[in-house]
Amino acid sequence: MSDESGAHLETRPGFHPVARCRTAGWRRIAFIGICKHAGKTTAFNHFLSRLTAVGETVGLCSVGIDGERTDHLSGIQKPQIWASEGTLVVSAAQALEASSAMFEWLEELPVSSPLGPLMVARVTLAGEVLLAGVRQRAHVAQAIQRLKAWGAEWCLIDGAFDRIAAGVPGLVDTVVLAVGASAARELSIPAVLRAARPFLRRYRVPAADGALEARLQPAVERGQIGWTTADARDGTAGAPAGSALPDDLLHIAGRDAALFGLPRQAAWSEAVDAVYLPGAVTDEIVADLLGHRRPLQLVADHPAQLLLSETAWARFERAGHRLSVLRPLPLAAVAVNPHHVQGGRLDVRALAGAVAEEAGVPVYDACGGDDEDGGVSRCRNGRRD
Amino acid sequence: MNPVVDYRTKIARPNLHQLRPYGDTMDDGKVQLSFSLPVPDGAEAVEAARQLATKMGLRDAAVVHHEDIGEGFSFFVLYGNCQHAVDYANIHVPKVDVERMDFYAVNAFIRDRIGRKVVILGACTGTDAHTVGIDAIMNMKGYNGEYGLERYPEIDAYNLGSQVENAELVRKAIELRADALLVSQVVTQKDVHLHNLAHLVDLLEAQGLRERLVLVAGGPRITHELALELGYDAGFGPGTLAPEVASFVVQEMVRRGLA
Repeated sequence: MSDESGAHLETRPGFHPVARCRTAGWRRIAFIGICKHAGKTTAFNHFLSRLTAVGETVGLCSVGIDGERTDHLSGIQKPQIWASEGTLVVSAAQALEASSAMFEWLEELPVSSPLGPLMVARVTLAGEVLLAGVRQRAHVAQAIQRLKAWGAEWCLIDGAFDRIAAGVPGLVDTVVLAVGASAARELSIPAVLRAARPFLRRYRVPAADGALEARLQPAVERGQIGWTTADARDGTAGAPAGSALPDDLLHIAGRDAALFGLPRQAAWSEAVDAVYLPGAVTDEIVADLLGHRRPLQLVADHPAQLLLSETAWARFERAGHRLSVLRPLPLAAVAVNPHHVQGGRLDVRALAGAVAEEAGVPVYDACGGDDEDGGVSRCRNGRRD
Repeated sequence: MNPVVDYRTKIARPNLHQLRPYGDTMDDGKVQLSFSLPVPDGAEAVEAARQLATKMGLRDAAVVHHEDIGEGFSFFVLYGNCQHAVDYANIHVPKVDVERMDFYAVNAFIRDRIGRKVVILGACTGTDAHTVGIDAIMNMKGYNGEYGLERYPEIDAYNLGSQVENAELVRKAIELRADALLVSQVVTQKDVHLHNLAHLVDLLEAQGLRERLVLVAGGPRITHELALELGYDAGFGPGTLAPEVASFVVQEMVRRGLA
């Protein structure tokens, strides 16, 4: 299939999003779900089985708890994670002890958890592994660094709930998004699409253009909020392309200033036409900017900083403003899971088709897989057989 | 004359690998359950309740009480024998690996190991208005014979109350230079509050604050495992008292070099 030719459901033998990642050189992959029971771990297993089947050394960790038999709250059976010999894992000591796989313990990381310290271990006898204890972006960074140091050629990071914290450029190369029917209370494709849209949009936000990036560069380098005015831009009309403005034409505020209201900052004015936010972009922050008279270009640092609801996003754009990111993160694929956790299922082809139309990337059936994968399990009612 | 026999030696011992509820005799599996049905009380309603209990896996289900509770609803109490067993001997529930200190020891620990006041914010976030749990931990009078964190001289405790938006909590954390956030949530089946708990973590990560904070979740259905899944450092359930939370926070601060 051609990635550029438009997205569509790919279940035929031979296709796998792993191939796309391999070709693009994306070897650190975060699995993010749009909700609990979206199919993240099943999508994760899909990659894991494919990679280990061809002898690749894979490193695993999870920002939640994965591999446990049942959900903590609902008691519903969950997909387990099967790791073959040679697979590297970062997980809490007690979680490793509760796994059926056998390990060679390689290293203790300086991170504690209620399940004991985080350990790096290598699977010596294939079995199920329980991944737990990694809970911060900083832990993920440490885990990936150590997994690679111990020889992992690929690093797979499983997500938790609808958390997006691990999907950060620099930390990972790409994201696989799991879109599950369970995201909507009502079992319908439009309802699932509504839930998926803010996640899909996050990875389709355009990158800020080079000239704008150059104007904002002093703020970016300091990790602080920066904004420029149309006057400043006019003042550099004759400047060479890509040249940064002098600092006095760029207003800089502390990283947290946006949480307290950008328009209330002393140097803010109606002439502002672009603002860079290194921190979170929330509904409250963009609501504060709706009344700004000049069309505004809001530049977020990367997609995981966009914590906007669909409604707030639409309002912001209707007001004539635009969002972009400094560091985009490619979406490798979308894995759809047609099974609702409370029973019932959607037509997988129809769901995949609808998601593909919005996503613009390959979409595959996380549960169905293909006959060649050797490890993708059949699903029933949102869980693995 | 017969020797005195300790009656406790006569009690049958439970099989810890096949643990069942105890009613009248060991392993009888006897349980009591109650529920309401949205139908008027009567013979059909009683039979419906009995059939439901049977479908739940209870043998010999019997309705021992039923009554009309108005508006076309009825209430039932049933007995039955549970057919299932659990392997108690192989259940391991994660616990926080810290020394539980009392009020005096926590304050002394802060003076000796941290050397400044510890700032702790507590709140029921999102739509949650159930403040009983967070009040028991935070408020000066405390609960069950233990002072709340407001009483600790070495802790600056701020109880922000109920229905606090995540963004507001983050603003307060910045303003007050918080060391720890205690977030109380009544987790419902529909996962609304889980989403809110997870969103706070994403917000703190995006704002670059997560590493600097000890983040604790609490509530009736919160466990350490659930807290870890949500990205929190620990999770405390019902019955938790202020010294347990304070012990965890201050020792975690020292362990992570946040002191």
